[in-house]
Amino acid sequence: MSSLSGQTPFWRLAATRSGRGVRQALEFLGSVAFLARECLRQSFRLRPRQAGLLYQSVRNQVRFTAVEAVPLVALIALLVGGVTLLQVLSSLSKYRAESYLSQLMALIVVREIGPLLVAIVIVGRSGTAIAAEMATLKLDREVDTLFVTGVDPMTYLLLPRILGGIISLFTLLVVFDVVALFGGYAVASSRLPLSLPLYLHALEDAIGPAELAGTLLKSLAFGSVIPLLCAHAGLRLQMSPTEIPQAVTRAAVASMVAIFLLSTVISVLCYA
Amino acid sequence: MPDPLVVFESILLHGGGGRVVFDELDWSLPRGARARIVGNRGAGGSAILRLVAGLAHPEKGRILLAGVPHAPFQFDHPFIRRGAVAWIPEDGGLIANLTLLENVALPMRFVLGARRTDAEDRALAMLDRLDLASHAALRPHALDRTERELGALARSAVMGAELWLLDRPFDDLEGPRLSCAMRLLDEALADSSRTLLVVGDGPAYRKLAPRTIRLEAGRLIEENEA
Repeated sequence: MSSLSGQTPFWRLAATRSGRGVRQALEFLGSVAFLARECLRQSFRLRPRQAGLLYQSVRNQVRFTAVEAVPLVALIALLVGGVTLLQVLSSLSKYRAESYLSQLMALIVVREIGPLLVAIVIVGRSGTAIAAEMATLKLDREVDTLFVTGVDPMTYLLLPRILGGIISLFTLLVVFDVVALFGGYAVASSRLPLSLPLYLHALEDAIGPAELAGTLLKSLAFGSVIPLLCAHAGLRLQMSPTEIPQAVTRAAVASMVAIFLLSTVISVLCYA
Repeated sequence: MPDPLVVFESILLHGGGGRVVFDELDWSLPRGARARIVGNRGAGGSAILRLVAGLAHPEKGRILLAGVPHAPFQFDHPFIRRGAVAWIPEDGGLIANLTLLENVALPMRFVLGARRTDAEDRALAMLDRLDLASHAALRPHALDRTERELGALARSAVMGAELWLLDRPFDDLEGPRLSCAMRLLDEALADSSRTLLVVGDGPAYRKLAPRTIRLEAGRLIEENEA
């Protein structure tokens, strides 16, 4: 008791608390890394017939994560593309540099905004659903049943969600970029005498191998990390259904932090 | 003396609230045995099944299944990987987002690599034997408890499992459904190399598993020795 009543020096309490935080963070990273390693290891053991079974799960995942999200992503892309263009246009107009409009749009939308917004949509729609589903599977001991009956939970549950995540993220990213850039053109053409061939030509100059590599890398990274972190949050549940909302929140927060960190690292690698 | 299929070596296991469930427990189950564990609820019967299945891991000691120790948190045990364990927990343990038919067919497709149509044909035939064919397209939430338990029984029977781990499977069954389940289990265990470990007390369990093991204060005592 004495240690809590003010006799323990402040620095020692602070050190203890920060030490606990570091330990928890390391435990979390270790646990996620273990899950990722197990998933990768089991995926190498996959047999052709099992791949057929998983194909159904991947297809379901892509339908829910990508196909059903197309209208939402297209709407966001259209609005963001239009607003971004207006902002860029008003800034460029001050310096009479409207000719750089396409290039700036391509850089902002394709390199940064597109991947981030698509990833956020996927976290909100599918990541949270994955976390809640995994938590329910864990609490109802369905994961146990899979394990004992010889159906590897990593391969059966996690692998299709990761593959589905990667495919969905890339697909939605293409949809987002196309709609945002053409939505941007629609807005621009109402304010400027901008011809479509000229706009496309400028885009062609602005979007090169680096943008393609960045888009692919971000699709791969976000598409695998979101399902992994969300499944991890759900599978860590121990006892009670009251933990499910907490797991979903943890999944969303962890995914967001990971997305922003990865986005920064990939952008620096590809574009710096 | 048949070789042991399950071996517990100096097992220490704590339950909820730090309560000691097993301390220095040594025990073995021979291949081909038909044993039932009796004892009060919460005494550790289900924990034994979970330890055997590799779902729970002791703090001390080790568990060998078919001569191979369980490794915590890894899906590596060859006996389990080849689908040799039949697992029927109290509520059946069916996967909620699959239909009954898909649940029964899943291990055949994943473990044995059966084609979808073949696996589903066999699954449907087994469900028909249990008078559940009309429920094949339903998901577990639309089934009652006994139907879920019978579904789990069908899932294990089509796999031809070698070790059957049953947690009070007949508590809710009666009449024709109980007879049907008993008949199916008798057939599944007809091969003398098949092993049964069931938790539960009552005439149906006695008929199925003549060897009785009483679970008392964390010890497993053969009934005739008690």
